Amino acid sequence: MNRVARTSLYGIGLLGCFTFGFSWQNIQHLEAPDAAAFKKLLGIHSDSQGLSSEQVFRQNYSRIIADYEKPLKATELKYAGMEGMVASLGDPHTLFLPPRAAKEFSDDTKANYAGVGARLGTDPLGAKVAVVFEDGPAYAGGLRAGDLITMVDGKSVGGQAIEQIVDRIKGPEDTKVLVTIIRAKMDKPMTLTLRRARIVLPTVESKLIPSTAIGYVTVTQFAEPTAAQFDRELTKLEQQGVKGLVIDLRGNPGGLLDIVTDMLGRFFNDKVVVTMKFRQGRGAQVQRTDSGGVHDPGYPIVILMNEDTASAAEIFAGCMQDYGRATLVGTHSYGKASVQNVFPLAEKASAKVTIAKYFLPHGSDIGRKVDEFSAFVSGGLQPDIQVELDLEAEALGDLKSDNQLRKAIDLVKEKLR
Amino acid sequence: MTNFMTNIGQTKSIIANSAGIIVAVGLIAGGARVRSNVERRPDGPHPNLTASRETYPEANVTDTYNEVSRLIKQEYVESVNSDMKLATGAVRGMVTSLGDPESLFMDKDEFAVFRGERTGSYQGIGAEMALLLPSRSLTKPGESSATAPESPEEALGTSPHIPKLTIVAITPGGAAARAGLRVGDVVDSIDGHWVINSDLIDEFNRARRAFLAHKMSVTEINVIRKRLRAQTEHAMVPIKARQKLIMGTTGSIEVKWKRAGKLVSTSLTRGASHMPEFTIKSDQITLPFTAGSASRLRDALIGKVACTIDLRNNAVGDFDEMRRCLAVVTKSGTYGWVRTFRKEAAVPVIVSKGNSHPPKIRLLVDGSTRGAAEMFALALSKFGGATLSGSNTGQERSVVETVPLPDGTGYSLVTGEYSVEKGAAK
Repeated sequence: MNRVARTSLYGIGLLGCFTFGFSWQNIQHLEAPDAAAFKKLLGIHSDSQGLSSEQVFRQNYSRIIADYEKPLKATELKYAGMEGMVASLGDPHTLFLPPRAAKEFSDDTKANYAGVGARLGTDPLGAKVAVVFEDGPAYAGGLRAGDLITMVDGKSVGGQAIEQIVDRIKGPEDTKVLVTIIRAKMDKPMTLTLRRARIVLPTVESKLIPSTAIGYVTVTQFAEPTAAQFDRELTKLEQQGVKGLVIDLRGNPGGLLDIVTDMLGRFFNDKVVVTMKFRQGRGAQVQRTDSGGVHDPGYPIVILMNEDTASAAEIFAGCMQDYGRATLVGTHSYGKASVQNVFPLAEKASAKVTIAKYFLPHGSDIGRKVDEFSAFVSGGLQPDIQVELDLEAEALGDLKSDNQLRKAIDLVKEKLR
Repeated sequence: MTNFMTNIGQTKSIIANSAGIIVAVGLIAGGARVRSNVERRPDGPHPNLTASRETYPEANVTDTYNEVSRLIKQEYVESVNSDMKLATGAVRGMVTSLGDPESLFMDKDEFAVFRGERTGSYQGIGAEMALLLPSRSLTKPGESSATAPESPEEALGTSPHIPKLTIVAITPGGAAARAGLRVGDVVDSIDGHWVINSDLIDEFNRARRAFLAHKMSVTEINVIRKRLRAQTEHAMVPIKARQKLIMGTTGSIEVKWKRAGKLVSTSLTRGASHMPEFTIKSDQITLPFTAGSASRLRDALIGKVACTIDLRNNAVGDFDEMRRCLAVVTKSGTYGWVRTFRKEAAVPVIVSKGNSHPPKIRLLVDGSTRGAAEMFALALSKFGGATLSGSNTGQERSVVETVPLPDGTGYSLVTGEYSVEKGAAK
């Protein structure tokens, strides 16, 4: 080897080392080296508009915080920027979660928080009590499904967002909260004193429909304890000799895919649950039920769903429909056909990012489409039997006024005949 | 001996190799160092920046930005090919978080319309539409105070602050003018979609109070509750409604308006229209604050000792051009202050090279005199001896910065409020 070749080889090697160091930030994150950074190093500026995206963000962040007529909190403005950046993808399920929201999200999936043991729905007056858990403090304090909460601790909550109302009710364990309610057929509002406690949310509840052999199981979400609770409740009903089942997934926002897969394993051996298609280059993954977990007496099953039935709940209902194991009653479901993963970030923030789209066993895409006013256009699972909920219905699960539930029970009875 | 030689050779080559490794490691570390210096090279001063007032943790902000954008690019199900789209989205998020009806992020088309309006060119129904918070709503004729709350609910502070989409100026010859619409008309619905405002919620709050005071039955309150629900299901947010009204030059829309508590139905065809340009008729000058107005005003006033300036239908104008016009018609001096809610002192509006022989001026104003025009009217009447004719001005004295972004989008940002008093903003 001659001297010139050797020297230039050394030169190239050393340049390579420098490039490696210069690009280390990118290499750490498995990216290609950043051309813009090299241009900056060499002093190349394409034109006056040629700001990097990071510079555009930083300049406008500085401008807003320095020029806006009111003083701003730097951290909040930064997080608002992150929320906006993520929102620019146009995917309603990919979210930046600032530290506070991040904590709430993990509260939700772990189904454990210091509250009063009730689930609330929206109402212009305040909040409508959708469900009261029978072993929780709210029930002990006299709160019932169908009640309207108009004040919390003596302050009106009319016109407030449901999250705000829930925030005011939640608090440190073992403290008291005053809740003023309006109840149908009661001529004046009533104030209840509720003691906050750590609540383990029952995600599955069951009962026998009176004077029938039909079981009624409500699954409110698919959280970590749900599969075990579902098994326990079904076993309990089967021991009571049920001959048919209504599974209520109305208002069930979904949850964990593994849990749904477990639950479907009670009905199907080694069947496709969903096919997840990841981003280009990462392929597809087929989620199947296990073999050998089937325990299904084969009684007729009707599943209730509505537009608030989403995600994991749609996978459950969709598989049961695709494999001919259940009849779907109610209205179309939400149409969430994607899988998210939560990634932790610095400062205890996190991001929920759509990492895959999923397709049900029959290959259909149930992704929700909306118009420019965010109103539903198409998507979701279609019910086998369409039944709209009566405006007069007092509460879901109320045997007298819940016409969707009544239809479901009638259908099971028909199948048993 | 051979052994010894070999050892020396090995030692030499070990030293050479070690030196090589040290140099290589040094270069790698150096490269990383250079990179971070390159990335932190300070940018030039911001154009149009009023003042850089506070220090803020900028490095931290950049770290967060890089962390989140990297995560999205690596993990999101679809490939993200535009970094600028992410940055613009972040700016949108920050501007939107201000919750200020005058600090608005606009996409490409909206921003083009926004800029057009600042030169007098309008699309849509031919009206300037503002999102007015209840306390800033236009004064009704005959009412002297613009700050009195509209309803007891607002006085009690229970009404949510949802701005009302209101006409604040109308182009002559546009669809709005042809349909007989007036300044102060509030949009109620567009093509059957209710435009969310606080009226219905106020009504509901009143009903709720009546119910709690045993003056209303459960059945009666449920009727109102259901109506509120039904209307909210087909609702349109005010910002979206605004786009429907001010953008585009084709198609027609059915719009219902609220005027003095009554509904007015209109069918409007979108088209191009214009605000009056700078004109002189006998001794009356129509003065829009657009580029070139100040020099035309100077020419028009040569040899005049008195004139009338028409500031009606003047709802958007350029703040800097207005100040140049002010210098044409006033002596040097201080003409009010721009105040903020921040700790800094109010910034005086100073005319440094004024007119030593200013003409006697009468100003024509009404509710469509807003923004730069309203500041001009206030400054001239308070400090320049001008007389005001007409009705109350529009109560809009915000100083608004317009910020374009590289991809054609942009935003408006309120930087302060004009006042004839020096104290802090309230």
